[in-house]
Amino acid sequence: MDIQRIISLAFTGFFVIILFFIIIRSLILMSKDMSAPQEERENILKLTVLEIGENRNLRKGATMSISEETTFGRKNDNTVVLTDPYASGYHFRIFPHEGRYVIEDNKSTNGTLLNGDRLEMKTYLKKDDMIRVGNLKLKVKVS
Amino acid sequence: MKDAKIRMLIPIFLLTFAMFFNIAVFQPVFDIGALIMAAVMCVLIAYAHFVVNKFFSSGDKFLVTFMSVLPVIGIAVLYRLNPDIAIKQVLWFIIGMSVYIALVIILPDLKRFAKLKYLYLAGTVVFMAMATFIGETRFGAKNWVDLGFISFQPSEFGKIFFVFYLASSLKNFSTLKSLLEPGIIVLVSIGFMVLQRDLGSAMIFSFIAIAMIFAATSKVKYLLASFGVGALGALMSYVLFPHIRRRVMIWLKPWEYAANESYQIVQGLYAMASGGLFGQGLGNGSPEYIPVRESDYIFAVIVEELGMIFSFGILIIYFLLFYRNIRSALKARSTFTSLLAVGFSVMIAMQVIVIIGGVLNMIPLTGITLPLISYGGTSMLTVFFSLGIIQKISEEA
Repeated sequence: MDIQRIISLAFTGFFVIILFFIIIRSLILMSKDMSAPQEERENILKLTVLEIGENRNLRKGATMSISEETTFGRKNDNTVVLTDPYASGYHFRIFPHEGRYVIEDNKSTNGTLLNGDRLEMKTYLKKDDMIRVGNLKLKVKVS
Repeated sequence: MKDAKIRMLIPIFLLTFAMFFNIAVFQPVFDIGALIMAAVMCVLIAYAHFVVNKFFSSGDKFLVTFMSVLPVIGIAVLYRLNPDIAIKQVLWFIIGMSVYIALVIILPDLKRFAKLKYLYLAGTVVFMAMATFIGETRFGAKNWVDLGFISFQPSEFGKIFFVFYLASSLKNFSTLKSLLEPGIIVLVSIGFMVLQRDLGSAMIFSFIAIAMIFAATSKVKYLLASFGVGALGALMSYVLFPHIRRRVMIWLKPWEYAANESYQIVQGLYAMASGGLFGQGLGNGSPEYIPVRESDYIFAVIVEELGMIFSFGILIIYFLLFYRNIRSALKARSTFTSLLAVGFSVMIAMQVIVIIGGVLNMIPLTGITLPLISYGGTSMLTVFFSLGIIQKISEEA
Protein backbone atom coordinates (compact mmCIF):
# COMPACT_ATOMS: atom_id res chain seq x y z
CA MET A 1 0.00 0.00 0.00
CA ASP A 2 1.47 3.29 -1.01
CA ILE A 3 1.07 6.47 0.94
CA GLN A 4 -1.59 7.95 -1.32
CA ARG A 5 -3.79 4.87 -0.82
CA ILE A 6 -3.50 5.17 2.94
CA ILE A 7 -4.38 8.87 2.92
CA SER A 8 -7.34 8.12 0.64
CA LEU A 9 -8.58 5.40 2.94
CA ALA A 10 -8.30 7.74 5.91
CA PHE A 11 -10.29 10.39 4.04
CA THR A 12 -12.97 7.93 2.97
CA GLY A 13 -13.21 6.55 6.49
CA PHE A 14 -13.70 10.09 7.74
CA PHE A 15 -16.45 10.74 5.14
CA VAL A 16 -18.22 7.53 6.13
CA ILE A 17 -18.07 8.44 9.82
CA ILE A 18 -19.52 11.93 9.24
CA LEU A 19 -22.23 10.69 6.87
CA PHE A 20 -23.40 8.06 9.33
CA PHE A 21 -23.08 10.53 12.18
CA ILE A 22 -25.52 12.80 10.31
CA ILE A 23 -27.87 9.86 9.71
CA ILE A 24 -27.82 8.62 13.31
CA ARG A 25 -28.12 12.12 14.72
CA SER A 26 -31.18 12.77 12.50
CA LEU A 27 -32.73 9.51 13.62
CA ILE A 28 -32.22 10.40 17.29
CA LEU A 29 -33.73 13.86 16.76
CA MET A 30 -36.66 12.33 14.85
CA SER A 31 -37.39 9.85 17.61
CA LYS A 32 -37.35 12.72 20.10
CA ASP A 33 -39.86 14.59 17.94
CA MET A 34 -42.06 11.52 17.82
CA SER A 35 -42.21 11.03 21.57
CA ALA A 36 -42.94 14.74 22.09
CA PRO A 37 -46.73 14.60 21.46
CA GLN A 38 -47.25 12.21 24.38
CA GLU A 39 -45.51 14.57 26.76
CA GLU A 40 -47.58 17.40 25.40
CA ARG A 41 -50.61 16.44 27.47
CA GLU A 42 -48.76 16.66 30.76
CA ASN A 43 -47.00 19.80 29.68
CA ILE A 44 -49.17 22.76 30.67
CA LEU A 45 -48.15 26.35 30.27
CA LYS A 46 -48.98 28.59 33.22
CA LEU A 47 -49.22 32.34 32.94
CA THR A 48 -49.21 34.48 36.06
CA VAL A 49 -50.86 37.89 35.86
CA LEU A 50 -48.39 40.39 37.31
CA GLU A 51 -50.17 43.60 36.31
CA ILE A 52 -53.77 43.73 35.10
CA GLY A 53 -53.44 47.10 33.33
CA GLU A 54 -56.83 48.24 32.06
CA ASN A 55 -58.30 44.76 32.08
CA ARG A 56 -60.95 44.82 34.80
CA ASN A 57 -61.89 41.18 34.21
CA LEU A 58 -58.46 39.87 35.25
CA ARG A 59 -57.18 39.56 38.79
CA LYS A 60 -53.63 40.38 39.83
CA GLY A 61 -51.69 37.27 40.89
CA ALA A 62 -54.09 34.88 39.16
CA THR A 63 -52.71 31.97 37.09
CA MET A 64 -53.96 30.91 33.66
CA SER A 65 -53.36 27.32 32.55
CA ILE A 66 -52.90 26.86 28.81
CA SER A 67 -52.90 23.48 27.11
CA GLU A 68 -54.28 24.32 23.68
CA GLU A 69 -54.47 27.28 21.32
CA THR A 70 -55.44 30.38 23.29
CA THR A 71 -56.20 33.75 21.75
CA PHE A 72 -56.05 37.12 23.47
CA GLY A 73 -57.84 40.25 22.25
CA ARG A 74 -60.71 42.71 22.62
CA LYS A 75 -63.27 40.79 20.52
CA ASN A 76 -65.68 38.61 22.47
CA ASP A 77 -64.80 35.34 20.76
CA ASN A 78 -61.23 35.33 22.06
CA THR A 79 -60.32 32.73 24.66
CA VAL A 80 -59.17 35.51 26.95
CA VAL A 81 -61.03 38.75 26.36
CA LEU A 82 -59.01 41.89 27.07
CA THR A 83 -60.85 45.12 27.93
CA ASP A 84 -57.77 47.32 27.55
CA PRO A 85 -58.49 49.85 24.72
CA TYR A 86 -54.80 49.54 23.83
CA ALA A 87 -55.34 45.90 22.77
CA SER A 88 -56.38 44.95 19.21
CA GLY A 89 -59.43 42.83 18.33
CA TYR A 90 -57.29 39.72 18.01
CA HIS A 91 -54.08 40.72 19.64
CA PHE A 92 -51.90 37.64 20.04
CA ARG A 93 -52.17 33.91 20.44
CA ILE A 94 -50.31 31.12 22.20
CA PHE A 95 -50.38 27.57 20.84
CA PRO A 96 -48.59 24.30 21.57
CA HIS A 97 -46.08 22.90 19.07
CA GLU A 98 -43.95 19.79 19.56
CA GLY A 99 -44.34 19.89 23.32
CA ARG A 100 -43.50 23.56 23.61
CA TYR A 101 -45.57 26.72 23.38
CA VAL A 102 -45.34 29.34 20.67
CA ILE A 103 -46.46 32.95 20.94
CA GLU A 104 -47.47 34.85 17.84
CA ASP A 105 -48.52 38.47 17.53
CA ASN A 106 -51.61 38.79 15.31
CA LYS A 107 -50.37 41.93 13.49
CA SER A 108 -51.76 43.99 16.37
CA THR A 109 -51.70 47.77 16.11
CA ASN A 110 -49.72 48.42 19.24
CA GLY A 111 -47.74 45.22 19.32
CA THR A 112 -46.91 42.63 21.93
CA LEU A 113 -43.72 42.93 23.96
CA LEU A 114 -41.80 39.78 24.85
CA ASN A 115 -39.13 40.53 27.46
CA GLY A 116 -39.27 44.18 26.42
CA ASP A 117 -38.81 43.60 22.67
CA ARG A 118 -41.60 43.90 20.16
CA LEU A 119 -42.65 40.46 18.92
CA GLU A 120 -42.01 40.20 15.17
CA MET A 121 -42.41 36.49 14.49
CA LYS A 122 -43.49 33.23 16.06
CA THR A 123 -41.34 32.55 19.10
CA TYR A 124 -41.08 29.67 21.53
CA LEU A 125 -41.98 30.67 25.08
CA LYS A 126 -39.61 29.71 27.83
CA LYS A 127 -39.69 29.91 31.59
CA ASP A 128 -39.76 33.42 33.11
CA ASP A 129 -40.59 35.14 29.80
CA MET A 130 -42.49 38.39 30.29
CA ILE A 131 -45.38 39.14 27.94
CA ARG A 132 -46.64 42.69 27.91
CA VAL A 133 -49.64 44.20 26.14
CA GLY A 134 -50.27 47.79 27.15
CA ASN A 135 -50.03 47.64 30.91
CA LEU A 136 -51.01 43.98 31.13
CA LYS A 137 -48.02 41.94 32.24
CA LEU A 138 -47.94 38.14 32.13
CA LYS A 139 -45.13 35.93 33.36
CA VAL A 140 -44.53 32.42 31.97
CA LYS A 141 -44.25 29.50 34.38
CA VAL A 142 -43.75 26.05 32.87
CA SER A 143 -44.91 23.20 35.07
CA MET B 1 -26.19 27.44 19.54
CA LYS B 2 -29.08 26.05 21.47
CA ASP B 3 -31.07 24.55 18.64
CA ALA B 4 -30.10 20.92 18.14
CA LYS B 5 -31.08 21.02 14.48
CA ILE B 6 -28.86 23.99 13.74
CA ARG B 7 -26.03 22.01 15.30
CA MET B 8 -26.37 19.56 12.40
CA LEU B 9 -24.53 22.21 10.40
CA ILE B 10 -21.21 21.27 12.00
CA PRO B 11 -21.00 17.74 10.53
CA ILE B 12 -22.22 19.05 7.16
CA PHE B 13 -19.46 21.68 7.13
CA LEU B 14 -16.92 19.05 8.16
CA LEU B 15 -18.03 16.76 5.34
CA THR B 16 -17.93 19.57 2.78
CA PHE B 17 -14.47 20.78 3.72
CA ALA B 18 -13.05 17.27 4.14
CA MET B 19 -14.24 16.23 0.67
CA PHE B 20 -12.91 19.32 -1.07
CA PHE B 21 -9.68 19.22 0.95
CA ASN B 22 -9.25 15.62 -0.17
CA ILE B 23 -9.60 16.70 -3.80
CA ALA B 24 -7.34 19.72 -3.34
CA VAL B 25 -4.54 17.67 -1.76
CA PHE B 26 -4.35 15.20 -4.63
CA GLN B 27 -4.05 17.86 -7.32
CA PRO B 28 -0.53 18.45 -8.66
CA VAL B 29 -0.69 21.95 -7.16
CA PHE B 30 -2.76 22.47 -4.02
CA ASP B 31 -6.11 23.64 -5.36
CA ILE B 32 -7.33 26.62 -3.39
CA GLY B 33 -10.36 26.94 -5.70
CA ALA B 34 -11.82 23.75 -4.26
CA LEU B 35 -11.78 25.18 -0.75
CA ILE B 36 -13.36 28.45 -1.93
CA MET B 37 -16.15 26.40 -3.48
CA ALA B 38 -16.63 24.51 -0.23
CA ALA B 39 -16.84 27.81 1.65
CA VAL B 40 -19.45 29.20 -0.77
CA MET B 41 -21.60 26.12 -0.31
CA CYS B 42 -21.26 26.25 3.47
CA VAL B 43 -22.51 29.85 3.52
CA LEU B 44 -25.48 28.87 1.37
CA ILE B 45 -26.31 25.83 3.52
CA ALA B 46 -25.99 27.83 6.73
CA TYR B 47 -28.33 30.50 5.36
CA ALA B 48 -30.94 27.90 4.35
CA HIS B 49 -30.74 26.22 7.77
CA PHE B 50 -31.05 29.54 9.49
CA VAL B 51 -34.12 30.59 7.51
CA VAL B 52 -35.91 27.28 8.02
CA ASN B 53 -35.06 26.85 11.70
CA LYS B 54 -35.48 30.39 12.95
CA PHE B 55 -38.21 31.95 10.85
CA PHE B 56 -40.31 28.97 9.85
CA SER B 57 -39.81 26.77 12.86
CA SER B 58 -43.17 25.09 12.52
CA GLY B 59 -42.07 23.30 9.34
CA ASP B 60 -39.97 20.19 8.87
CA LYS B 61 -36.39 20.78 9.93
CA PHE B 62 -34.80 17.64 8.52
CA LEU B 63 -35.48 18.21 4.83
CA VAL B 64 -33.00 21.05 4.64
CA THR B 65 -30.28 18.90 6.23
CA PHE B 66 -30.72 16.05 3.77
CA MET B 67 -30.99 18.34 0.79
CA SER B 68 -27.73 20.02 1.76
CA VAL B 69 -25.72 16.82 2.21
CA LEU B 70 -26.64 15.27 -1.15
CA PRO B 71 -25.62 18.17 -3.45
CA VAL B 72 -22.37 18.60 -1.48
CA ILE B 73 -21.43 14.98 -2.24
CA GLY B 74 -22.55 15.41 -5.84
CA ILE B 75 -20.56 18.60 -6.39
CA ALA B 76 -17.44 17.13 -4.77
CA VAL B 77 -17.55 14.14 -7.11
CA LEU B 78 -18.29 16.39 -10.11
CA TYR B 79 -15.35 18.61 -9.17
CA ARG B 80 -13.11 15.59 -9.18
CA LEU B 81 -14.46 14.60 -12.63
CA ASN B 82 -14.52 18.01 -14.24
CA PRO B 83 -14.08 21.30 -12.33
CA ASP B 84 -15.87 23.38 -15.01
CA ILE B 85 -19.04 21.34 -14.67
CA ALA B 86 -18.83 21.48 -10.88
CA ILE B 87 -18.75 25.30 -10.96
CA LYS B 88 -21.90 25.30 -13.10
CA GLN B 89 -23.47 22.84 -10.70
CA VAL B 90 -22.66 25.11 -7.74
CA LEU B 91 -24.51 27.87 -9.59
CA TRP B 92 -27.48 25.55 -10.04
CA PHE B 93 -27.26 24.60 -6.37
CA ILE B 94 -27.39 28.28 -5.43
CA ILE B 95 -30.31 28.92 -7.79
CA GLY B 96 -32.14 25.81 -6.55
CA MET B 97 -31.62 26.69 -2.91
CA SER B 98 -32.84 30.25 -3.62
CA VAL B 99 -35.97 28.88 -5.26
CA TYR B 100 -36.50 26.69 -2.21
CA ILE B 101 -35.99 29.53 0.27
CA ALA B 102 -38.12 31.89 -1.82
CA LEU B 103 -40.96 29.37 -1.87
CA VAL B 104 -40.75 28.96 1.90
CA ILE B 105 -40.74 32.71 2.48
CA ILE B 106 -43.17 34.15 -0.07
CA LEU B 107 -45.56 31.34 -0.92
CA PRO B 108 -48.95 32.02 0.65
CA ASP B 109 -51.31 29.28 1.74
CA LEU B 110 -51.04 26.49 -0.83
CA LYS B 111 -54.73 25.64 -0.71
CA ARG B 112 -55.65 28.56 -2.92
CA PHE B 113 -53.65 26.99 -5.75
CA ALA B 114 -56.02 24.04 -5.82
CA LYS B 115 -58.45 25.77 -8.17
CA LEU B 116 -56.11 26.34 -11.11
CA LYS B 117 -56.72 22.85 -12.49
CA TYR B 118 -56.90 23.80 -16.15
CA LEU B 119 -53.72 25.87 -15.98
CA TYR B 120 -51.88 22.77 -14.71
CA LEU B 121 -53.55 20.68 -17.40
CA ALA B 122 -52.35 23.05 -20.11
CA GLY B 123 -48.85 23.19 -18.58
CA THR B 124 -48.63 19.42 -18.44
CA VAL B 125 -49.69 18.89 -22.04
CA VAL B 126 -47.49 21.69 -23.42
CA PHE B 127 -44.32 20.57 -21.65
CA MET B 128 -44.91 16.90 -22.35
CA ALA B 129 -45.54 17.47 -26.03
CA MET B 130 -42.85 20.11 -26.55
CA ALA B 131 -39.89 17.81 -27.08
CA THR B 132 -41.82 15.54 -29.45
CA PHE B 133 -42.07 18.36 -31.96
CA ILE B 134 -39.07 20.64 -31.41
CA GLY B 135 -36.83 18.34 -29.40
CA GLU B 136 -33.39 17.07 -30.18
CA THR B 137 -31.97 13.66 -29.46
CA ARG B 138 -29.40 13.13 -26.73
CA PHE B 139 -28.33 9.67 -25.57
CA GLY B 140 -31.09 8.03 -27.59
CA ALA B 141 -33.99 10.00 -26.13
CA LYS B 142 -35.58 12.92 -27.92
CA ASN B 143 -36.24 14.86 -24.75
CA TRP B 144 -34.16 18.02 -24.97
CA VAL B 145 -35.30 21.39 -26.23
CA ASP B 146 -32.74 23.93 -27.35
CA LEU B 147 -34.05 27.49 -27.46
CA GLY B 148 -30.71 28.89 -28.57
CA PHE B 149 -29.80 30.66 -25.35
CA ILE B 150 -30.84 27.82 -23.07
CA SER B 151 -31.44 24.10 -23.45
CA PHE B 152 -33.53 22.12 -21.04
CA GLN B 153 -35.59 18.96 -20.57
CA PRO B 154 -39.25 20.01 -20.78
CA SER B 155 -40.41 16.78 -19.15
CA GLU B 156 -38.73 17.92 -15.91
CA PHE B 157 -41.03 20.95 -15.77
CA GLY B 158 -43.86 18.80 -17.04
CA LYS B 159 -43.46 16.64 -13.94
CA ILE B 160 -44.23 19.58 -11.67
CA PHE B 161 -47.36 20.52 -13.62
CA PHE B 162 -48.32 16.86 -13.77
CA VAL B 163 -48.25 16.49 -9.97
CA PHE B 164 -50.10 19.78 -9.48
CA TYR B 165 -52.72 18.75 -12.03
CA LEU B 166 -53.28 15.31 -10.51
CA ALA B 167 -53.50 16.77 -7.00
CA SER B 168 -56.09 19.36 -8.02
CA SER B 169 -58.20 16.96 -10.05
CA LEU B 170 -58.02 13.97 -7.69
CA LYS B 171 -58.82 15.94 -4.56
CA ASN B 172 -62.56 15.77 -5.32
CA PHE B 173 -62.57 12.06 -6.05
CA SER B 174 -66.08 10.66 -5.72
CA THR B 175 -66.85 8.05 -8.35
CA LEU B 176 -65.02 6.16 -11.03
CA LYS B 177 -66.24 8.76 -13.53
CA SER B 178 -64.19 11.49 -11.88
CA LEU B 179 -61.06 9.44 -12.63
CA LEU B 180 -61.74 9.57 -16.37
CA GLU B 181 -60.22 12.96 -17.13
CA PRO B 182 -57.04 12.51 -15.03
CA GLY B 183 -56.70 9.00 -16.47
CA ILE B 184 -56.69 10.35 -20.02
CA ILE B 185 -54.13 13.05 -19.14
CA VAL B 186 -51.88 10.44 -17.51
CA LEU B 187 -52.05 8.19 -20.57
CA VAL B 188 -51.39 11.12 -22.93
CA SER B 189 -48.36 12.25 -20.88
CA ILE B 190 -46.89 8.77 -20.70
CA GLY B 191 -47.65 8.30 -24.40
CA PHE B 192 -45.58 11.39 -25.27
CA MET B 193 -42.72 10.12 -23.09
CA VAL B 194 -42.74 6.79 -24.92
CA LEU B 195 -42.78 8.60 -28.28
CA GLN B 196 -39.74 10.61 -27.16
CA ARG B 197 -38.12 7.32 -26.12
CA ASP B 198 -37.67 8.74 -22.63
CA LEU B 199 -38.45 5.50 -20.84
CA GLY B 200 -37.17 6.61 -17.46
CA SER B 201 -39.59 9.52 -17.36
CA ALA B 202 -42.43 7.31 -18.61
CA MET B 203 -41.75 4.95 -15.70
CA ILE B 204 -41.66 7.79 -13.18
CA PHE B 205 -44.86 9.37 -14.47
CA SER B 206 -46.60 6.00 -14.21
CA PHE B 207 -45.53 5.51 -10.61
CA ILE B 208 -46.45 9.09 -9.63
CA ALA B 209 -49.91 8.55 -11.15
CA ILE B 210 -50.39 5.15 -9.47
CA ALA B 211 -49.29 6.46 -6.07
CA MET B 212 -51.45 9.58 -6.27
CA ILE B 213 -54.54 7.70 -7.48
CA PHE B 214 -54.14 5.22 -4.65
CA ALA B 215 -53.57 7.99 -2.11
CA ALA B 216 -56.68 9.84 -3.32
CA THR B 217 -59.04 6.87 -3.54
CA SER B 218 -57.50 4.53 -0.95
CA LYS B 219 -59.09 1.61 -2.77
CA VAL B 220 -56.99 -1.44 -3.52
CA LYS B 221 -58.98 -2.23 -6.65
CA TYR B 222 -57.88 1.04 -8.28
CA LEU B 223 -54.30 0.28 -7.29
CA LEU B 224 -54.50 -3.15 -8.91
CA ALA B 225 -56.28 -1.70 -11.95
CA SER B 226 -53.66 1.01 -12.49
CA PHE B 227 -50.86 -1.52 -12.07
CA GLY B 228 -52.67 -3.69 -14.61
CA VAL B 229 -52.89 -0.81 -17.10
CA GLY B 230 -49.23 -0.02 -16.45
CA ALA B 231 -48.16 -3.60 -17.05
CA LEU B 232 -50.26 -3.77 -20.21
CA GLY B 233 -48.69 -0.53 -21.44
CA ALA B 234 -45.20 -1.83 -20.71
CA LEU B 235 -45.95 -5.07 -22.55
CA MET B 236 -47.41 -3.21 -25.52
CA SER B 237 -44.46 -0.89 -25.85
CA TYR B 238 -42.16 -3.92 -25.55
CA VAL B 239 -43.87 -5.48 -28.53
CA LEU B 240 -44.16 -2.24 -30.53
CA PHE B 241 -40.80 -0.51 -30.02
CA PRO B 242 -37.46 -2.13 -30.86
CA HIS B 243 -35.47 0.22 -28.60
CA ILE B 244 -37.37 -1.05 -25.59
CA ARG B 245 -36.72 -4.66 -26.58
CA ARG B 246 -33.03 -3.82 -26.81
CA ARG B 247 -33.05 -2.34 -23.29
CA VAL B 248 -34.57 -5.50 -21.88
CA MET B 249 -32.15 -7.66 -23.83
CA ILE B 250 -29.04 -5.93 -22.46
CA TRP B 251 -30.55 -5.99 -19.00
CA LEU B 252 -30.93 -9.77 -19.12
CA LYS B 253 -27.58 -10.50 -20.78
CA PRO B 254 -25.24 -7.57 -20.14
CA TRP B 255 -22.03 -9.55 -20.63
CA GLU B 256 -22.88 -10.80 -24.11
CA TYR B 257 -23.09 -7.27 -25.48
CA ALA B 258 -20.34 -5.79 -23.30
CA ALA B 259 -18.53 -4.21 -26.23
CA ASN B 260 -21.61 -2.66 -27.85
CA GLU B 261 -25.08 -2.05 -26.46
CA SER B 262 -24.38 -2.76 -22.80
CA TYR B 263 -20.93 -1.14 -22.76
CA GLN B 264 -22.21 1.47 -20.30
CA ILE B 265 -23.74 -1.04 -17.88
CA VAL B 266 -20.69 -3.27 -17.93
CA GLN B 267 -18.29 -0.38 -17.38
CA GLY B 268 -20.44 0.75 -14.47
CA LEU B 269 -20.43 -2.73 -12.96
CA TYR B 270 -16.63 -2.99 -13.33
CA ALA B 271 -16.20 0.39 -11.70
CA MET B 272 -18.45 -0.48 -8.76
CA ALA B 273 -16.78 -3.87 -8.30
CA SER B 274 -13.34 -2.26 -8.21
CA GLY B 275 -14.58 0.14 -5.54
CA GLY B 276 -15.36 -2.48 -2.92
CA LEU B 277 -16.43 -1.57 0.58
CA PHE B 278 -14.26 1.51 1.07
CA GLY B 279 -13.62 2.56 -2.51
CA GLN B 280 -10.48 3.58 -4.33
CA GLY B 281 -10.40 6.95 -2.67
CA LEU B 282 -11.74 10.23 -4.06
CA GLY B 283 -9.59 11.04 -7.10
CA ASN B 284 -7.94 7.61 -7.39
CA GLY B 285 -10.47 5.66 -9.43
CA SER B 286 -10.72 5.49 -13.20
CA PRO B 287 -14.16 6.94 -13.93
CA GLU B 288 -13.02 8.04 -17.39
CA TYR B 289 -14.13 4.61 -18.67
CA ILE B 290 -17.74 5.15 -17.60
CA PRO B 291 -19.97 6.88 -20.17
CA VAL B 292 -22.31 9.69 -18.96
CA ARG B 293 -20.42 9.69 -15.64
CA GLU B 294 -21.48 13.24 -14.75
CA SER B 295 -25.22 12.71 -14.76
CA ASP B 296 -26.88 9.31 -15.01
CA TYR B 297 -23.89 7.21 -14.02
CA ILE B 298 -22.61 9.32 -11.16
CA PHE B 299 -23.65 6.65 -8.69
CA ALA B 300 -21.16 4.22 -10.26
CA VAL B 301 -18.42 6.83 -9.80
CA ILE B 302 -19.40 7.34 -6.16
CA VAL B 303 -19.33 3.59 -5.45
CA GLU B 304 -15.98 3.23 -7.20
CA GLU B 305 -14.26 6.07 -5.39
CA LEU B 306 -16.02 6.30 -2.04
CA GLY B 307 -17.05 2.68 -1.59
CA MET B 308 -20.21 0.74 -0.94
CA ILE B 309 -20.63 1.74 2.72
CA PHE B 310 -20.67 5.43 1.85
CA SER B 311 -23.12 4.72 -0.98
CA PHE B 312 -25.40 2.87 1.41
CA GLY B 313 -25.28 5.99 3.56
CA ILE B 314 -26.47 8.02 0.57
CA LEU B 315 -29.34 5.57 0.02
CA ILE B 316 -30.30 5.85 3.69
CA ILE B 317 -30.36 9.65 3.35
CA TYR B 318 -32.67 9.32 0.34
CA PHE B 319 -34.86 7.01 2.35
CA LEU B 320 -35.03 9.45 5.27
CA LEU B 321 -35.84 12.26 2.84
CA PHE B 322 -38.72 10.18 1.48
CA TYR B 323 -39.88 9.36 5.00
CA ARG B 324 -39.96 13.03 6.02
CA ASN B 325 -41.81 13.92 2.80
CA ILE B 326 -44.49 11.29 3.32
CA ARG B 327 -44.78 12.37 6.93
CA SER B 328 -45.70 15.89 5.87
CA ALA B 329 -48.17 14.38 3.41
CA LEU B 330 -49.86 12.53 6.26
CA LYS B 331 -49.98 15.61 8.44
CA ALA B 332 -51.21 18.00 5.74
CA ARG B 333 -54.52 19.70 6.46
CA SER B 334 -56.15 19.50 3.02
CA THR B 335 -56.41 16.69 0.49
CA PHE B 336 -54.84 18.88 -2.20
CA THR B 337 -51.64 19.59 -0.27
CA SER B 338 -51.47 16.03 0.98
CA LEU B 339 -51.69 14.70 -2.58
CA LEU B 340 -49.09 17.22 -3.74
CA ALA B 341 -46.66 16.00 -1.11
CA VAL B 342 -47.32 12.36 -2.04
CA GLY B 343 -46.74 13.13 -5.72
CA PHE B 344 -43.48 14.99 -5.19
CA SER B 345 -42.07 12.50 -2.70
CA VAL B 346 -42.85 9.56 -4.99
CA MET B 347 -41.31 11.49 -7.87
CA ILE B 348 -37.99 11.92 -6.05
CA ALA B 349 -37.96 8.40 -4.59
CA MET B 350 -38.80 6.75 -7.92
CA GLN B 351 -36.06 8.67 -9.68
CA VAL B 352 -33.57 7.29 -7.16
CA ILE B 353 -34.88 3.74 -7.48
CA VAL B 354 -35.06 3.79 -11.29
CA ILE B 355 -31.55 5.12 -11.86
CA ILE B 356 -29.76 3.23 -9.08
CA GLY B 357 -31.64 0.06 -10.00
CA GLY B 358 -30.55 0.65 -13.60
CA VAL B 359 -26.92 1.31 -12.70
CA LEU B 360 -26.82 -1.86 -10.58
CA ASN B 361 -28.52 -3.70 -13.50
CA MET B 362 -31.39 -4.84 -11.30
CA ILE B 363 -33.98 -3.29 -13.64
CA PRO B 364 -33.58 -2.25 -17.30
CA LEU B 365 -31.42 0.85 -17.48
CA THR B 366 -33.18 4.08 -18.37
CA GLY B 367 -31.29 7.31 -18.40
CA ILE B 368 -32.50 9.78 -15.80
CA THR B 369 -30.67 11.88 -13.25
CA LEU B 370 -29.98 10.99 -9.65
CA PRO B 371 -31.87 13.71 -7.75
CA LEU B 372 -29.67 16.39 -6.11
CA ILE B 373 -26.41 14.57 -6.97
CA SER B 374 -26.26 14.31 -10.77
CA TYR B 375 -25.15 17.21 -12.90
CA GLY B 376 -28.14 18.94 -14.46
CA GLY B 377 -29.76 22.30 -14.01
CA THR B 378 -33.31 21.36 -14.87
CA SER B 379 -33.29 18.36 -12.59
CA MET B 380 -31.77 20.37 -9.73
CA LEU B 381 -34.40 23.10 -10.11
CA THR B 382 -37.28 20.62 -10.26
CA VAL B 383 -36.20 18.77 -7.13
CA PHE B 384 -35.57 21.94 -5.13
CA PHE B 385 -38.93 23.31 -6.25
CA SER B 386 -40.68 20.12 -5.12
CA LEU B 387 -38.88 20.17 -1.80
CA GLY B 388 -39.82 23.82 -1.32
CA ILE B 389 -43.48 22.91 -1.80
CA ILE B 390 -43.17 19.98 0.61
CA GLN B 391 -41.43 22.20 3.16
CA LYS B 392 -44.34 24.63 2.88
CA ILE B 393 -46.85 21.78 3.30
CA SER B 394 -45.02 20.53 6.39
CA GLU B 395 -45.79 23.86 8.07
CA GLU B 396 -49.49 23.04 8.04
CA ALA B 397 -49.13 20.26 10.58
